[in-house]
Formats: sequence, structure tokens, C-alpha cells
Amino acid sequence: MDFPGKQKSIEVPRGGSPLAGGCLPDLPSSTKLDITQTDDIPADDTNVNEETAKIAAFRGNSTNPSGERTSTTETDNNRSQRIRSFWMPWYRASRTILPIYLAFHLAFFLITCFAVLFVLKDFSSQTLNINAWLHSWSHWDANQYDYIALRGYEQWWKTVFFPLYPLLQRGLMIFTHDPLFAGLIISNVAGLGMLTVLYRLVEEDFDSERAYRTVLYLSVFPTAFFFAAAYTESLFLFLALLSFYNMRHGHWWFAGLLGLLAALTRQAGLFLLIPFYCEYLRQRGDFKDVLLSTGNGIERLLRSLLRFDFFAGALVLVGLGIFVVYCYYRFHILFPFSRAEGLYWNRDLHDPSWGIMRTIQVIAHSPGFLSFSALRNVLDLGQDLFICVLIILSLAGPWRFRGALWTYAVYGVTLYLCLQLYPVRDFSFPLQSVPRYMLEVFPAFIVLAGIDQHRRINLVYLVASASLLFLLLAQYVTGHWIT
Amino acid sequence: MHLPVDPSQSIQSNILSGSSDTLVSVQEADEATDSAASVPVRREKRGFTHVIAFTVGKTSWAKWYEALKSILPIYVGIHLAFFAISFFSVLFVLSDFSKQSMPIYTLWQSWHHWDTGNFLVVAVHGYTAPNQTAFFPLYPIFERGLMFITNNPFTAGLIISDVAGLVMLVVLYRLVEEDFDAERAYRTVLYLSIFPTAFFLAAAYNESLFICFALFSFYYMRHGNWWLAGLFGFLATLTRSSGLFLLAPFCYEYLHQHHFYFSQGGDTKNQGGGKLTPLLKRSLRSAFQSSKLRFDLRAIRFDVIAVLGMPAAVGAFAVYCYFQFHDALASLHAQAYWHPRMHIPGEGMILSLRLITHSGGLLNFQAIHNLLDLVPDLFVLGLIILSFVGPWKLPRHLWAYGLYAAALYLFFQLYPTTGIFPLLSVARYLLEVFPAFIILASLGKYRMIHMSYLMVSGATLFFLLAQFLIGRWVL
Repeated sequence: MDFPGKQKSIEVPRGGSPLAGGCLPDLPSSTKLDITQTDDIPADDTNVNEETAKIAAFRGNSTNPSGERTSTTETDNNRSQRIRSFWMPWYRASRTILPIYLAFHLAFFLITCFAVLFVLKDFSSQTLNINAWLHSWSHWDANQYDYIALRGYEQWWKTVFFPLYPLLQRGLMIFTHDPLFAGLIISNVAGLGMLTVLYRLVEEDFDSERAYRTVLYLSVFPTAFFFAAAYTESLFLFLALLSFYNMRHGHWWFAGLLGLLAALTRQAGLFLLIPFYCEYLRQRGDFKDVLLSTGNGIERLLRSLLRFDFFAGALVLVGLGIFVVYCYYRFHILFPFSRAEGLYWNRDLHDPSWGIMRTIQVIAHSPGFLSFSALRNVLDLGQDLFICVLIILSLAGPWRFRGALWTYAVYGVTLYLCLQLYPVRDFSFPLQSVPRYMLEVFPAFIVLAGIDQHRRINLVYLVASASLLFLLLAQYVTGHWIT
Repeated sequence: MHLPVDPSQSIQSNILSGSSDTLVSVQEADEATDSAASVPVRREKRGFTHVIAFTVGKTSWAKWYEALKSILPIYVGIHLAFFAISFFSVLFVLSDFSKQSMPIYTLWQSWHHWDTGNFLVVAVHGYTAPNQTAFFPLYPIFERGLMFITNNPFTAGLIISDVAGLVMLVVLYRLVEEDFDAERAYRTVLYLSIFPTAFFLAAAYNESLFICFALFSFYYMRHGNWWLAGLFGFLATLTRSSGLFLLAPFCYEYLHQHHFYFSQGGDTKNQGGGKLTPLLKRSLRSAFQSSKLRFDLRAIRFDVIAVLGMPAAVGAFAVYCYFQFHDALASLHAQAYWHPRMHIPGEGMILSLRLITHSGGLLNFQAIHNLLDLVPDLFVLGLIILSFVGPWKLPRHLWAYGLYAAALYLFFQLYPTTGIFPLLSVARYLLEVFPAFIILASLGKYRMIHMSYLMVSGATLFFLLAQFLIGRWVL
């Protein structure tokens, strides 16, 4: 189903969607033979076979495509069957996660309705305006994106909000006229896509039960309502997960392209470079060969690594580059967003533990345990440490990512650490917004789904987290300060 | 549990072996061998104290422990969530970035709202005014009792509610596990715990204590342990007047377990269409055609007296009221203060619906609160209907559940309150209609229903709790 033998498949024109290959049966044997013959290295074929076996070993469900490969003629029937067999798993995945998605959206809708009661006084006969109610989802950063979508980047410090999401909003505004609704549509469609891709990814690398739980745990994280708000989180995670999925399948160019889009959505997209090259190294590099052979092992390794699609990862940098070039022409500042983080948004580079330490200090010096600053800092710190524990568990302990899955661990650790690097400086909320960023660290949720083999333990997380989710959402829609 | 055995056969065996040391029925013997539960197979002639001693001695504690282990994650999870909400609901009281800090006792003092105060006054001063008798006495008595240790009636109330809440879930789990299966038992407990008004089970209200006693009574009814069923029925009724409706399942169970079949023919066996009317019709018919009455009066034993437990509680309280206020029906009159006249069931819903449509938009206080009352009410109504008809209906030997639910539900619909909230507090009372959650548990095997109920109900629960804790109007 997916092995590096297909590494040149992209150059071969084939039917189906651009994301093809993942589930399409492999190329007819004649084409495949051509590929191996044009290769300069004779040993490559055995390499490929070994790796095929390896990948098939860790992906338990990869089917043997040899049956389809024997057919040399391709009928129309066959093609439609291929397309169907490509879409079926996606369809099944989206059907499986649909109950979660719908249930959460129903709950969000209800909370939005009920939150009116926090605004109105008891027994008041006042009725809230429906328009005001609809705009109860437009707060904080959502307004910034709306503004950019309407007027473009007018101030240089607004470049911390990356352009893809407002661009899409702008595009959709042809139909909706209101940037907020455009943003909500984008976020929620991307949210559904995101959960589907996450399900497929975990289902292939682990099992379907764990995939379902991962999706559930991600959806119930206390800040998960940002997936439904007009924020970039769901779009970014959708692109990042799709990129990750293609990496796992060895479709480097798609992975790179999606990485480019992700990098245009959020700065954190840059960190997709790391899993890209980890995965590239893992699938292409055969270190055993280097250790065993005495002769030109290293040369062979380098040759197998340095193919043309090695540079697909650079597309992620291209994504950032596009925006940097735009910013330079617009404001004549190189990297205005990193400067704005420091100057305007009070975020400075610190070592990863600084934010956590500072938060503990702030809590200790707050006016009381039940004061605004203490409560909000406890919320930030608790979620941050929770993900921290999960990230540590992804490296060590009985639930760590084993064998071929270490890319997850690497991605999780780097993303977590890098998101800790920019705490807020002199404000009294050092880890401000970090709980929201934690949503992007999806490997942590895979670990969490792996922890509870005993179904009953997970309930404590589910219920406690859901209570915070709904409370924070109620705070958000009533206009309290939640970022 | 109680498979329909040919009644004539067992009655015959009863008649044949009329001694004191008799095999109660073929059916119960079967049941005892099937499950390792501590059902007394041979029921000797013994007094009330013997029954209790026997039950305590023979109870398989391992099973109770297993049940406790199964439901503990739910209990802990929900209470953790309640704790988190009482913690962070302060954020709704304080304005953003304020330097103010609430004192730490806000955490538990924020649970002190609405009816809590009424129980506390009774616990501390006793009944001083007739209209206080709307609150039945057992919960305040317990508060009073625990005050010797805690000194604070409110803390005592919280402890009682939460301990009773835990016991309640364990008994519910055991009950459903024995009559249905463990999976459904787990779901029932989960669904009850996350019902939108379930935080009242943890607040200093008498709901959890009542449900705890009612479930115990039900459990012992199903086991044929009539003395204990009566005792717990007595305690339940002394906690809330709704306990009186335990009479319905008690009578049904008693007659059913003593093979009171109205007729043996296949024509009436599975006509479970309506709720009560077919039963009544049939009983009338069979009264006239006594040849069809398959019932032996000797099957009724002395222990049928236990059925008086429930009315006895009401009687005892009435006697107290008579001596205190010279009005035996003081409790009834006090209720009339809130619920002045009886309505046809359903009228409250129509009133509520009319208030919603006439509120001038859905986004106002009146409409949302009426919806919060009406929707759970209709939801539970749907579940009760499903317990009699449809693919999830209860088998006939478990009709006690349906009868109890229907009777209790109808009672709650009879007395809508005046004012703009006709179904006031009904959503809270619905917690007592636990059989509805058993039906919901069988529906819950569909992931869509399971997730939707959990999320929607959970969202409403946590929202209402936040409102309750910051002192908004939630009853």
C-alpha cells in the first residue's frame, strides 16, 4: 500500500486525486520495472524490498498489493474501483469521528445560547439581539484576522498573524460578506478535516480504537473550542496533520507542499521540517547497511538520501520565505513578525522552563488563591504541565513511541519546547495563549489515548477536561479575556 | 431474572409443601443457582431482625466492592469537574484583571444557595413554621445528627449528600447489573451522573439521599426481601414525599413474585401496549371471571405488611405535624403554597411552551429557563414511553421499573407552579426517575446517541452548575 518503491510515482501521471497513492494499488509491474532499471545503483532494488518489508511490518494493516499489480491492463471499472478504494477509508474515518464532531458542536451551540444568562440579569425581561449573539464568537484574535481579511496588513506588528487564514477568509467573503462567518466556516470545515486526518493517521500507525480516543481527547481539551472559533488552530492542524500523513506514506512532495501551506498559516508550521527530515532519514537511510558493509556503504547511503525529493522539505521554508518577501516589500522590515513578538506582543526568547517558573512565581505572589491572576495562571500552568507530562511519557515509560514511530516523539518534543520559548515578558500571565498552542502538539494526545488500556480511567480526564472546556467557552463567548 | 415459569406448577408445589420450611418457588431456586447473589433460597419463618442479620451476614461483599470499583471513576471524575467548576466559576464573579481575591471559603460556601438554606433552618431550629413542612424531615435529621461532629449543618449536609451519592451509584450499578448487564449498568450510572441537574446530587439537597433509599428499596424488592424493601421505602418517603410512589413497584413485584397472573391464556400475556389501563381492565375482567384468576391467597404472607412502610412514613410525619402545628396535613398545605392546584399532566408543558413562544425571542431569561425545564422533561417522557413500547421496551418481569417511572413522572406533571416557570424544579426531580436512564443506557450503544447525550448534557450540567455557584437563579 505504501512503500518507498513508489518514490518516483509522482512523476508518473496517474488518475485520482492529488493525494493519491496512499491507498491506490501500486503501479503496474511494467512501470515499476522501468523505475528500477533506470536507477544507477543496482543494490537499490533489494534496499527497496527490505524497506517494504519493514514498513509492512510496522503498519499491520498494509495490504499486499501484488494481486493488483499482476493486472497489466487497466479498465475503467478498475479505475473507479481504485478511486473508491482510495476514498472509502476516508469516508469511514469521517463517519467514525462524526458523532464526536457533531456532539461537540451541539454542545458549543448550547453553551452559546445559555451564555446569554450570564449577560442578562435574573428575571430581566430583556431579549438579546440575534446579531449580537452571533458575534459572541468574535473576540480577541478573531477580530485581528477579520481586520486583516478586510483591509490587509496595515500595521507592521500585525504580521504576527500569518496570511493564509485571512486570505481564505477574504476568498470566502465573496459568499458570506462577513469575515467572521467566513472564518467560522473555514475553521469548522478544517476542524472536521483535521479530525478525519488525525483518525486516519493514528488508525494506520496504531489501531482504530486508539484513533477514536485520540480524536475524542483532542476535542475535549479545555481550549478545544478554538477549533470552532475563527482562529487559525484548526486550519493549521489540518494542514500539519495532512503533511504528516503524507510524510508517513513517503509522499514527500505533497508533504512539502502542505508544509508550505501550514507555514503560511502559523509560525509553528516551520517545525514540520523536523519530522520531515526525520521521516526521510528513517525511510531512506539504511544505517544497518553502513555499519555492516566495509566498502562504499556511506556513499550508497548518501546516494539514497540525496534524491531530488530531498528538497521537498525546503518547501516549508519557501512558505515562510513568501511571507518574508511580502513583508519586506510592504514594510521594508525583514522578519517583522519576530520583531513584533518582542516589541508589541511582549514575547521574548527565554529558555523553555522560564515561563513555567515565572507562572509559579506569579501564582505565589497573587493577592489570593481565588483571584483572577492566580486562577488564570493555574489554568495555563495546569494545561501546560499536563501536555508536558504526556510529552515526557512519549519518550520514556511503557507508553513511549516505539520503533518506527519515533518521528511522533521528535515532533512532539520539538514543538512543545519551541512553543515554550516565547513567554510573555512583563505581563502577569507568562504562559498566556500557551494552552491554545498545546492543541497543536497532537502526539501528546496519541500518548494519552495509549495510556488508558483500562477504559474506565479515561473518564476522569474526559469529565474534568470537558467541564473546563465548557467553562472557558462560556467565558469566551461572554467576552472575558481568554486568548 | 424472573423467567416466566409455568405458574400452576409452582403454585402446586407451594400447596403441596405447605410447611414453614418451604421452598418459595421453583423460580427463585433457579435464580439463586444462576447467580451467586445472596438471595435466600429457603425462606424460613423469621422475624424482621432475622432478615436483616441474615442479609448482612450473607451479603457477598465482593460484588459490592466490584460495583464500587466500576463506578468510582465516574464519581471521582464528576466530583473533580465539580471542584474545578467551583474553583473557576470565581472568574465569572471577578472582573477581568481585577486585583481582588475571594476568600478561600468561597469554594464550599458557593454551594450554599436556594433550598439548601431551608433544610439548614430546619436542621438547626426544627420546624417552626407550618410552611417549612414542605421539606420532609429525614435529611434535616441527618444533618442535625452529623452536626455533632462537624458543628456546621451545611458541611454536614454536603457530607451526607455526597456519601449518599456514592452509595446511590453503587446500588444503581448493582441493580442494573443484576437485571440487565454490566455494560448497561455502567452507562446508566454515567448517564444519571451527567444529567443536567445532577449537581444537585452533590449539593446540600435531599435528592441523593432519597434516590439512595429508593434504590435500596427497589433492590430488595427485586430480591424479594420485603422487610428491607419496606424499611428503605419508609426512609425514602421520610426523605421526600415522592417515596410514596415506591408503592407501585412494591405491589407489582410482590404480586409478580407470588405468581399473581390474571389469566394464564396466551391472549393477555404480552399485551404490554398501554401503561396501566390494560392491567386494570384485565384485573376487572378477571375479578368477574374468577375461574381465570390464577392466584392463591396463601401465597401472600405476613411480610406483605412491609408495604405499609411507605404510608407509615407519611403518617408519622403527619402525626408530628399535628402535634406541632395542629394540622396533620401541614405538609400538603405547605406544598400548595408553590403548587396551588392540580393540573392535567401535560398542561404544565403546554404552559411552558406558550411562555417560550410568547417571550419575544429565544435569547432571554424566561425562554431559556423554560427550555431548560421543558426539554429534559420531554426527554425523560420519551424514555419512559420507550420503556413500554418500541424495540427497547422492558420485558414484563421488569415492569416494576416502568411503573415506578411512570407513576413518579405523572406525579411531577400534576402540580405545575404558577408564575413564569410552570415546570420549576421538575428537571431536578427527574433525577429520581432512574429507570429512564436504564432505557437511555440501552440506547447508548449507538455512538451518536452516546456522544450527543454526554456532550449536550455535560455542557448543560456544567453551565447550570456555574450559574448555581455564582448565585444565579437555578432551582
